[in-house]
Formats: sequence, structure tokens, C-alpha cells
Amino acid sequence: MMKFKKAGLVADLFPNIRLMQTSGHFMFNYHSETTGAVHGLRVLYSSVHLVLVMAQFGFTFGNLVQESDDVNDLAANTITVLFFTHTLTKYLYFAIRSKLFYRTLGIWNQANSHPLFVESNNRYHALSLKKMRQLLIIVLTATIFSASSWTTITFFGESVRVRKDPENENITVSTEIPRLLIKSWYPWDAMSGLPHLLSLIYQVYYVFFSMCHANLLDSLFCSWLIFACEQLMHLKEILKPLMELSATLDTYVPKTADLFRAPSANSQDNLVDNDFNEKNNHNDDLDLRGIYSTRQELGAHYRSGALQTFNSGGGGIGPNGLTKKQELMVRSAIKYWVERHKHVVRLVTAIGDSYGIALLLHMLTSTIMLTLLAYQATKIDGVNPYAFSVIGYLLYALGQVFHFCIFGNRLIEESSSVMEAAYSCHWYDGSEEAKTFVQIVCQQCQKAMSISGAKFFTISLDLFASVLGAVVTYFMVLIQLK
Amino acid sequence: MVISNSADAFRVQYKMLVLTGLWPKENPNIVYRLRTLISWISAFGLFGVLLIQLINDIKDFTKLSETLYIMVSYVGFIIKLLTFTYQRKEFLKMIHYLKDPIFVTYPEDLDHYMTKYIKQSVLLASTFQLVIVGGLIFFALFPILDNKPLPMPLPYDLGKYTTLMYCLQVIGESISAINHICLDVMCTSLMGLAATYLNILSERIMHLKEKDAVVEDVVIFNEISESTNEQMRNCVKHHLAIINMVDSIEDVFTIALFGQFLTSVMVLCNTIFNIIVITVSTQTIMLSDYMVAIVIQLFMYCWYGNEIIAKSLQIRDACYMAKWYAFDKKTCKYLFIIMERSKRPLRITTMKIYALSLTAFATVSTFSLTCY
Repeated sequence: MMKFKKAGLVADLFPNIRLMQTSGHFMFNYHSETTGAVHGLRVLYSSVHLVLVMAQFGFTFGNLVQESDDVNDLAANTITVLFFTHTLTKYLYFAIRSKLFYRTLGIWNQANSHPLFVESNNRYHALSLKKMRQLLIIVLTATIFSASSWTTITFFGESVRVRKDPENENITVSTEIPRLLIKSWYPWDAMSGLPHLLSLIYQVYYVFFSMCHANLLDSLFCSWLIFACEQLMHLKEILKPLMELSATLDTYVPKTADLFRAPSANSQDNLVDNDFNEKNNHNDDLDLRGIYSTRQELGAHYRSGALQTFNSGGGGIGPNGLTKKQELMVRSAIKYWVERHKHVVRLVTAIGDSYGIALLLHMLTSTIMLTLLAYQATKIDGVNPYAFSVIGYLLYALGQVFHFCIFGNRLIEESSSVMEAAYSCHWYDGSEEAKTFVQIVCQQCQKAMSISGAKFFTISLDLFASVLGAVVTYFMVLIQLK
Repeated sequence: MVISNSADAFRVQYKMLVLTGLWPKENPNIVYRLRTLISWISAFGLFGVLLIQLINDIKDFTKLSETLYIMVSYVGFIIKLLTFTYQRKEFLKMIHYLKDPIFVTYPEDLDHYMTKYIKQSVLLASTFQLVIVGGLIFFALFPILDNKPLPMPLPYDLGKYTTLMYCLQVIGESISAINHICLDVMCTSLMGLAATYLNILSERIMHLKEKDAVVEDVVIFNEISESTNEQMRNCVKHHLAIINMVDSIEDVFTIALFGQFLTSVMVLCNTIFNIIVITVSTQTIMLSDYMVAIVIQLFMYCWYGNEIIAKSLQIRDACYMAKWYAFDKKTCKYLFIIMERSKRPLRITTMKIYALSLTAFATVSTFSLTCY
């Protein structure tokens, strides 16, 4: 029996993971005891949830088939079925592809570190932790609020089914149907009494747990994105100290006489100490050079190109060991930066792999659902439970799309601003090695890291804007057609 | 020849805004505060009047759109006013930053770009003011010609207070219109200034080392490359300063621009609707004048935004146009990194959603036409 240790992302996201396990997701890692009996119990727990959820889904679908004669009811029932298709899809998706999720959760188990940047790393880690917790609380609150408002709205208005009288087309006949959250076909009579109460409780459980399944998984995805963004911010922040560190390195200031001597690779007596203020001794030389330079920049740092050959690779010809140590320090800092950046890229790729298809399926169901909702919205004729439920559905669906679009957008922005941060970090003062580093970073970070829905579309605020625009357009067109 | 002062580009707006009390001052005296208060009261007062009329008319769409077209642009103006006041510290910091010596270290022969731009900016500000004065005269006169009691209608009959209300409305409207235009032209002149600086920078990079003749001696070559490196560093610092400036412009004005975009769409829709629906009268002329003003306003923003994008991409070409084949490895590295940065253009966005450019202008216009 191995004691399970929380590390990396798992430790950060532990509340989320525990909540997912409680709500019945098929997540069986991250427990302290993994004996057969306990494991079997957990599988049984999740399977029971699965059976209950699928049963209710089946009942709702049955109701859809039963009421498919009336267009209005058909539209309304399709919306409900699509709503729960989406939650069921997320639930099953996780069960099927949990391996990829475990892999993503385990990617940050071994992170590199550098003594210079530990403080910055910890600060951003703490920031990301705080944001993840806040997100989880917000998502939970929203879920509880939606579930309870759904329950409350059931008890307003008439729970009847309106149909046209088969004899006379102009009269509508209303038949009584059970007052439940979701119109479903039950094999038992749920009109009143104990069956009604049990069905009600069953449906409350169903609504709440389905919403939890979907929303917790979404918040897991967004928490990953938060983490990646905070890591990128950490990387951006340490660029400046890195450049400053390398700026103190290149203190090779040549003696004045040497500049007028033909340079030879063997003249080692040019070495001067690491005094930055040596340049002030060159003041008298500036007059001589005045004929060549158009501007008298005092305090200019002259590094003669011809003497570049001395600063090659690990040559480290320095008068004292300090220069070499600094050089190694800069090199290790650059290595830390690049390895950390590569780690973030690996994390984002893993996130995209594990969640991409779920996002695609989500967007498919959402698009159809929002189209039908636009149609339903044109039939709002006053402030009644119908209006509230339609608006509620709309806000919930749009809110879900907005939820992951905003974090996807942030990732794109953060990753593309790394290039701008690299440019603005006073690289012109750094050593040649630092300049090469900036060069390659600028090249690589031109392309932003983004999450795509299985390569069909990228998750960004553009996606949200287009979804919103499409809904508004459908709504306008349908209103005109009325 | 002395390098021209970039603050001249917006001196007209500065004078007008100081007159109406909206320019953020460090320690304003009582008179100044009073002027600020008058501007605020006229803005919100007229907004209140329009709101009353709107609530009264909420059932009838034709009459509603009459009030709506002016009210929506008032909402835009109030958003601009609020964001400008909220961001005044940022704004003052930016204006102060423009006085930084890094902005004036370019060679004097490139100064003609700046003088040209200053002339253009002052001309634009003055022209716009004339247009507004014309519009205001119409605004003051059309009730008399059209037999309406007030320029901005009220559902209540004021009796003998009508004349007073008339005068108040005209005065309030003129102050608000002046403020609105000054804020707009302020933003656009700052954007144009950034574009001019980018232009100067690209010229500077292109003409690097041009003064020096071809040298054979290696040692003198080294000297020259040192000075070239020095100039490159200054170019980079200049580039960074311009990037900072564009970022601060965006920080100060982004919400206002977002409001501007939203309201432009609605106003365009509404005004077209009104022109077609309402019978030909002086009001129609005023409406057309108004619509032209709105279109020009939006166009100005998009034009200058486009300039910034185009000029920042031009830096990459300028790097290539320099005599880079004669530079040594170190200078080439500078050029390389500058070119990498310039692949991505500098843009001004409306709350990070939409970048100001001529494409945006086309999209907004077609969108408002489709809405109509």
C-alpha cells in the first residue's frame, strides 16, 4: 500500500479532483489506498451514477419522442435533450480518455529550478493557486445557483400540456402533467404522492450532478490554462534580470592603444580588469574618434569587434575566476528559461490533446442548442416562467462557452507577448550570448500557443464573438419572419 | 535648426480643453474647477433631458429613434469623458513621457516629417471645429425653422421657461460638442504622433552609416562599427519608447474607443432610418450633417490606427533597406532582432477585441448597413 504523494499539478488541483471523484467521475488515481476492495467500491459508485444518469437521459428522450407532434414542444424538448447530451458527453469523454488526463496532470511533477529565480517562481505559483481556487468557487456557486433556480422555477406557472383539440382546431385542450423539473416519460405514474416526490428528488439529483460533471471538467481545463499563463508571466518577468546579469559579464574594455594596433589573436596583454568605469579614461580618445562618430555619446561602452575572438565559447579568459562563474551563471539561467518554456509548451500540447475533442463536441451541441434557443426566444411574450427559463438556458450556454474562451484567449495573449517582453528587456546591453538567446526566443515566440478544438477552430474570444453574433443574427432573422 | 516640439501637434486641443476645464491639471484653482463642473453639468444635464424624452417615447419606434440617434452618441461621449477623467493620471504621465529626450535624438534633417505632421494635425483640429460650429448653428436654428418648441424635445410643456430651456440647451450642446471633438482629436493626434515617430525611426535606420565613405582600413572600420552600434542602440531605445507610448495611448483610450465603436454602429443605423422616415426639412439637413460627422469621426480613428500598423511594419523594410551587407556581425544581430519585433505590428485595440484599422472601418460600416 503506497502512500500517495501529491505533487505538481495534482497538489494544486486537489479540491477540484476530489470534487470530481465525489460527483462520480471515473477518476480512480490519486487515492491513498488502492487495494482491490476499495477500488471496486469506487468503480461501483461511479457506475451507479452512470446508470442513474443514463436512465434519466433515456426517460427525457422518451418524452421527446412522445411529444413530437407539437412543434413548440418538440423544440423545447430538443433543447433539454441537447443540454443533457452535452453533460453526458463530458462524463463519458472523461471515462474513455482518462489516461490522457492523468498524463496531463502528471506533466508538471518534475519542474526545474534555478537559485536566482526561485522567488519569482514561487510568487507566480501562489498566484496561479489563488486564481484556480477562485475559479473553482465561482463555478461551484454558479452550478448551485443554476440548479436551485431550475428547481424553484418548476413550482411557478402551470404544469400543463397544451394541445389542439382533435375535433375543433381552434380550441386548445390542456392535459395535466406531473410538476417536475424535466418533462420525462416514466414507466410509473408520477402525478402525485410518493412516486411524485421520489421522481422529483431523482430529477433534482440528476440536474445537479449533471451540471457538476460538465462544469467541474471545464474548470479543470481552465485551471490548467491559468497555470500555463502564470508560468509564462514568470518567464516574462525573469527576462530582465537575466539580461542584467549578462550585462555585467561583458566588461571587457580594451586599452586605447590597442585599438590603433593591428589586432592579432595572440596579444593577451590587452586584458583589463572588470571595471565598468574604465570607459571614463577614454575621454581623451573621443576627440580622436570624433571625426568618425557623428555623435559624442559619453559613457559609451566600446567593445571592439576585432577582439571578439577572445570571448569564444568556454574560453573564459578572465583575469579572475569571477568572470567565469558569472558566465556559467548566465548560461545556466538561459538554460533554465529555455527548459521552462519548453516544459510549458509540452503542458499546453498535452492539454490540447486531452481536451480538444471534448471542446469540439461541446461547440457542436452548443451551436445547435443556441439556434433553437434563438427560435424559442422569439416566442417570449411577457414576464413569465417561460421567459425566465429561455433566458436562463441562453445565459448558461453562453456562459459555458465564455468560460473557456476567455482562458484560451489569455493563453494566446500571454504566449505572444513573450516576444514583446524579450524585446523590451534592454537586450542591447547584454552579452552576445544573450543577444543570440533573444534572437531565437523572438523567432520562436512569434507564433502564439493556442488550444484548438481538434484542429477545427481555436479557442479564443473571437470564437465567443462569432457564436454570440450568430445567435443575434438568427434571432433578428426569426423576428423578421414572424 | 531646432527640432520641433511634438506638443505643438495638439496645442489647439490643449487650449480648448483648458478653456472648458477638462484638461487634467495638477492643482486646479477654483475658476478651473468651476469650468470643469460646467462641462460635466452640461453633459449630464442634456443626457437627462434626452433620457426623459426617451422614456416617454418608448412605445413608438419612429419617435424613439429621433431621440435615440443623439442620445446614443451622447452615451459614447459620456463614456469617453468618464474614461478620460478616470485615466487622467495615466494621460498626464504619457504627455510628460513625450518630453523624454529619447524622442528628440533623431538627426535634424528628418525633422521635416514632424513639422509636416504638426501642420496636418492642427489643420485637422481646426477643420473639425468649423464643422462643429456649422452643426451647432443648425442645431440652434432648426426649431425656429421647423416650428418646434425646443431643439431637444421634452414631453412637458414648460410655458414661459421654454426660452430659458432653449438657451440652456444650445449652450450645453455647444460645450459638450466642443469637448467631444477635442477628446477625439486629442486621441487621434497622439496616434498620428506615434505614427510619425515610427516613420522617423524607419528613415533613421535606413540612413545608418550613410555619411561615412567606404573605408579599407580595418581599424577605422572597427571605429565606425562601434559608432554604428551606438546608433543602433539608440534606434532600439527609440523603438522601445514608441512601443511604450502606443501602449499607454491604448491604456488611456481603449474603453472610450470601444464605446465609440458600439455607438457608431447604432447611430449610423438610426440616422439612416431617420433620414428616410422624416419629411424633408431643416432637421434632415442637420441629420445628414450629423451623419457625416459621425462617419468622419470613425474614419479618423481607423485611419490613424491603420497608420500606426502600416508604419510599424515599415520598420522591417527599413532595416532591409539599410546597407546591412557592409555591417559587421554585431550590428547585423541588432537588425535581426529589430526585424523580428517588427514582424508583429503595433496596434491600438478596443479593449483587446478589435484593432483599429481601415478594415475595421469597412466592417463596421457594412455591419451597420446590414443592421439597418
